[in-house]
Amino acid sequence: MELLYQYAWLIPVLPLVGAMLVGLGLISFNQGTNKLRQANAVLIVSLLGAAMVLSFAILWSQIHGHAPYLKTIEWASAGSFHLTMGYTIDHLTALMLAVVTTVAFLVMIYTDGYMAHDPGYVRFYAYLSLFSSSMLGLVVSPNLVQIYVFWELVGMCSYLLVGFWFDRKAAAEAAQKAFVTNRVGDFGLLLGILGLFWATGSFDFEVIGERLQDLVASGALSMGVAVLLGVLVFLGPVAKSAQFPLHVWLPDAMEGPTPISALIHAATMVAAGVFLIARMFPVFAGLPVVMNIIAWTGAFTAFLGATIAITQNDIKKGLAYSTISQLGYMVMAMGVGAYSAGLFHLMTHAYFKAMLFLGSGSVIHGMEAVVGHDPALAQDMRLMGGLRKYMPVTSVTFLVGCLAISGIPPFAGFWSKDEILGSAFGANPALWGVGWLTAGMTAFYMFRMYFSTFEGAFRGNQKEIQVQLLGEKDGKVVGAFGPGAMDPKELGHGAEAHGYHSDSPHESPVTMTLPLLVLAVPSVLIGLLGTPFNNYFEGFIYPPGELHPEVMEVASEFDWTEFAIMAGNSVGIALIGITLASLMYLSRKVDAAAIAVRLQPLYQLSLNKWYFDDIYDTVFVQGCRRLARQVLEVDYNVVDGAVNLTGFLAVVTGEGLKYFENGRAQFYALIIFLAVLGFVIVAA
Amino acid sequence: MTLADGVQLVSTLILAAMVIGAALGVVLFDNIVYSAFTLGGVFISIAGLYILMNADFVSAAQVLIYVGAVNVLILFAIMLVNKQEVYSPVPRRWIRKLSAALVSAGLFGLLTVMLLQTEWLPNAAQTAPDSTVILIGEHFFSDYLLPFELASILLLMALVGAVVIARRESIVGEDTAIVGEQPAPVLELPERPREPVA
Amino acid sequence: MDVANLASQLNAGAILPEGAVILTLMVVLIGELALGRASAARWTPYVAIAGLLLSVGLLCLQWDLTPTLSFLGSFNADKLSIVLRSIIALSTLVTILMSIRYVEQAGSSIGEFMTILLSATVGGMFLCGAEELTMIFVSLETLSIASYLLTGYMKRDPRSNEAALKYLLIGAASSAVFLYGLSLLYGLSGGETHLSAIANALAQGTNHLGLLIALVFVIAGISFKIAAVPFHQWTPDVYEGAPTPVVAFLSVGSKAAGFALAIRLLTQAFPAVVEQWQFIFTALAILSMVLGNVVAIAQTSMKRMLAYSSIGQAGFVMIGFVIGTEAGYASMIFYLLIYLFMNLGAFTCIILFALRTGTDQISEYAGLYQKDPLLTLALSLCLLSLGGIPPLAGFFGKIYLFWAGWQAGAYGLVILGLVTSVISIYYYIRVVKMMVVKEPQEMSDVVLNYPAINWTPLGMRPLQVGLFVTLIATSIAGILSNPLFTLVNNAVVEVPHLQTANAAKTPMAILPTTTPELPAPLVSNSDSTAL
Repeated sequence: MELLYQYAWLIPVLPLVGAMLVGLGLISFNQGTNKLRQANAVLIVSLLGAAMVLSFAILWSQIHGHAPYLKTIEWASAGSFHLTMGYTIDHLTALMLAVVTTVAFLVMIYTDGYMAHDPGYVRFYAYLSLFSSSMLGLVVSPNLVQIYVFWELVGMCSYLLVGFWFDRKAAAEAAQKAFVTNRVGDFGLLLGILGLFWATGSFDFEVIGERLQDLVASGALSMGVAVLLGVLVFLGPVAKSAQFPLHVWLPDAMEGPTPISALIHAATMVAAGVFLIARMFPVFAGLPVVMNIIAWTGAFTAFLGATIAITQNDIKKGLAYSTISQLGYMVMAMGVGAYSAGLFHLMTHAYFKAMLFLGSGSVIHGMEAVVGHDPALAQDMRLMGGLRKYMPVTSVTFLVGCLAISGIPPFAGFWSKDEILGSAFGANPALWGVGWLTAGMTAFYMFRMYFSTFEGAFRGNQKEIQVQLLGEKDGKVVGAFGPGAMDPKELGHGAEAHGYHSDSPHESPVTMTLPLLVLAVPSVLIGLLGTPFNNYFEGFIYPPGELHPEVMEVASEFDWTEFAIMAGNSVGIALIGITLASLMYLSRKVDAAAIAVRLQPLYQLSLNKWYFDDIYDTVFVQGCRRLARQVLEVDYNVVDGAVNLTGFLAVVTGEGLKYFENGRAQFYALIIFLAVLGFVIVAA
Repeated sequence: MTLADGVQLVSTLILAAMVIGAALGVVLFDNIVYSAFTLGGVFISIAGLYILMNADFVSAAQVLIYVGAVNVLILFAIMLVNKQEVYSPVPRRWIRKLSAALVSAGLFGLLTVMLLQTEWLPNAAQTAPDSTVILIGEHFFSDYLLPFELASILLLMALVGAVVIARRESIVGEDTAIVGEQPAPVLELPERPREPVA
Repeated sequence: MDVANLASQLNAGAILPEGAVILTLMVVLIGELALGRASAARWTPYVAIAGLLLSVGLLCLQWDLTPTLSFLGSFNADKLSIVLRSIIALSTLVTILMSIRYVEQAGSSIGEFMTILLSATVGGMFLCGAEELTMIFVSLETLSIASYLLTGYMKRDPRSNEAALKYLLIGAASSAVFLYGLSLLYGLSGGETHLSAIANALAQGTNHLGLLIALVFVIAGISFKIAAVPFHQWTPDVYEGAPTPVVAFLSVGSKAAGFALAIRLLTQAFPAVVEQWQFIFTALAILSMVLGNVVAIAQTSMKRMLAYSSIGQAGFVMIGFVIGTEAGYASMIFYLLIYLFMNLGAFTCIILFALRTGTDQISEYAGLYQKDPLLTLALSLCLLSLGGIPPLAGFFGKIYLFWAGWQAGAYGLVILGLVTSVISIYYYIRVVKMMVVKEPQEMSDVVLNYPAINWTPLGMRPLQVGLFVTLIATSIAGILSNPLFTLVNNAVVEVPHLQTANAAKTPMAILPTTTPELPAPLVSNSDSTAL
């Protein structure tokens, strides 16, 4: 067993090796490497598979009570300053490793089908592998510095992948937006890390937590400063996990290929923020103000995401806002101290949301056969409908995903969401109220999505809708809002391969449906690990400060009545949401458009994403431009002035400087002797 | 003061005066040939000073090498070039002359003050050796062995360098593959000449 | 003193690494004569590289030996000298890698180039361990004269001639001053030539002015080698006119030798005037940092820019020297080691560019990224590392230097160093920006006509190898700096005179052998912060 832990560093290194090999191949022998498409894919997938096997072995050993393992090497040291690097394996790490590797593995298999005709197939695999490596590195990091390094690395991979089709303006702009937004958060995180180091002299989570409390208790550090540091650190998760107010980048990031949306922007990287909060739990737990901020940020984000998701017509954007909303749940759970509930939801969400995204990719893939490779058409739900007939596997798995996210028992989402809502109720009924309302909306928009995609009649051949949608797209000036999935440039050979403009969509190849089916299993079953009456999950994942018996004790005090009330409430509102959705989009008894007209301001607010993009554009983008112009002015006047002044001085002292320029050796010698003389006189 | 001491003192003074006078001549003569000849005078006077210090071998080497070789080489060089060039007076030459004179005078003053202030430690071995050649030889092969051997490397390298610079270049390898956009001129820096300084 | 006794006292094994270089030099020289110039280009560089590798290997073997004086006190093979000798040998190694193609394209003889370069290396390596005035002077002159010859190697180019002549004249003047200083030392100490004996003899003397003059004269000679302002004026001319590989060697190998000389000579022979030499070097450091970095901004030629930047870099290194703590010396040698790779990497890149395009104007680099991403990447990384951008090697080098300075209380110097390194980042980044972000239409003509990348001509492969080696070293030497730093620290800790010279100051090693758990700074400083 020890051997397993000694070689645990292989888990992040294996995908890195794959990425390096393929990357080097791409740099050195571009054409040759690009020709070996499948061979490269097999190499990378098998390396990640090996990492997955290792991860499961570690998870198994951790479940069986192996002690946490920490291995560090001194990376840099100068005097009293020591920086260590290494890896740590504990319950949380083991869980995250398993989640990340499985999702990444399945997404990679899926990619083979999805990207089959893309010229950047091999490059895409290299990026995917690099991302997996960074994400796994983040998970095993034992201290804040290393976390920060990998944090930036996953961010970088995310930009690379969002801008994968960099020749498309929208994709390039989305990548830029993600970059800038994340910079804000990362800057806060960096400040927070440095501040915590200044205050406590450590980068270790537990040590920081303990010392910070000692300092606050002894009065050496005022509470305000401690809270400020906590909030700064929290800024990192806010950006990475797309929490309000830095959530704006995530929907645009859907410009990336769909496997990326599934892996990075649904299952893993965005969850890194929640993971960091979990890691920093010892620090945050001692700062109630920060915990409240976290909880309310999460709750508001959950509500915000759900309200926007209601009106989205683009299937991927809808899912993106749903992700924001679900991340809000997790953050809220963390904020109310429901450590294991938040992480439980992280795990279940990772599986069912990855499946939903992959399912949407499959739908888009199928739609492209009908409407062509224009993302404005292929991703719009108004053109879909009735796909269940053509894509049975996809539709079934999608339905499972919808049930899971809506919180219908016994699907995974029910147990985790219910646990969060229960904890929230314990902390603050208002939080519970927001979460409860959001749960209803979640059920509504997910089934709206399901019904308009898979039920009813197929609308993909109705030319007038296509024309209308294309008109809408052209009307939108800002390219960054345009959704996308497939590179329009490769329309040509894409058409040959698919024979597009067939009349009906088709089911995706087995490499795409197989991951869907595999992911459906945990989406259904994994929730049973964390049932409140027999909570294995909580017995495994519990806050670092608490001891295992205490946790079990609390868990065993289970009250059926309370559970029934809570569960009944959330299931009830979910069912209401589903019913409403079926009335509006399945049987069309209620006219959605009429409601939209009646609630025009609310509808517009939701459709325009609460106008966040516009506000940010006016305040920050324009403001920055104005500021930059002023700085330029200053630069022009002051700096250039200084340079000109130097030039002026040079002209004035021209006679002297000429000697320098003409390079007379005698003069040089003179200077040497003069300097010698001067130094003797000055030193004496 | 014995007679020997008196003779030594007087000859030291005379030789010192010769060194200074000849050195001033090297600097101040306008005609470069005169400068070269007075330089020979400097070397010979210094050789005389060496004799006064019982360094007979060094003195002989000084005459042989500096007067016989270096100075003659300088004269050869002057004659071979033999270019009658009228120096156009540089504008404000007096500034340079003055500053050079000031710095030199300052250094001279400084060193003089230092010489007078310093209490020189007497050398441990005061008695004159029988033969300085033997002494030098012993040193060369004992405690100065390494510098002595290193000097041979230095001389070898200087020899090679002199040959490299002096020889008429026969260009090797006509097949010098040109990588750049234009054929690089042989034996010149591949970079283009800098723009003329304004 | 009989022969057998003498031979045993010589302890000649200490100079085996130099012996290897000398042997290589002989093989190259005689082999070229015997086999002809035409074939020389094909094998001499590789023999030279093998010889240098052997030399470095021998140096590594010497690491664990107890340091002893060899040649009756002429040469000291302690760990300090081993590290510095390795730096010089490595710099020659990389210089050879980049010079093969350059010399070949210029049509001159490579065998003789190697011979002279190797003699310069021998001189530099001996200088690192020289413990005795004669030895110091002879090895210094070996290095200097070889440098003059190398500078004038492109003898049909008037710029090269001019540079060589100027270098020779100024060099002769500074050598004369240096020699005068040495002779004063000899006289003041009553006829001693060994550094420790001189220090002993001077300790009881009261000849303050004489000692001071000797000190300043010696510093003038050293500063000429390390190109510290105001003894730097030869650099721009020489760097412009000398063949670029020679410039690379001068800016790294020769400079490292100068610093080696400074450490040994000043700390060992002048303990009586520590205050003074630290003061003078402070002035030199300030002037070098300011002038080097400020003037570099205005340069249009890459070589000249690097010339001035190397003056500034020497200024940074001098911070470590001035503060006179163990940490200072260690960080200084560490920086030299890092500087070796990043500067030689940058030179390799500009040689490659010059060979392909025939220019070294900064403006001609515009848009290079479109045509040669590898070269752009390498040059960018090396320049950013020189500027001290994390996580490249140069950042760690600078951090250690500034940290050591801060610990020793040299706040002014460190702040000035920080400010000037920000200035330096400006002109380094300017080049990077020029290469990377130019739009295709803003490409310079030279880059537009950039030739197809071809690594096959003679000497291009070694250039490529050099590029990769320096690039990798620059990228990871910082992240993996700990072993290097331990090495450097060991080298400094075991040299006795570095401690005795600074008995007044509290010595502080950067790596304390036992460090207890880190104390919380805030708690320990709570009095001063007075919250």
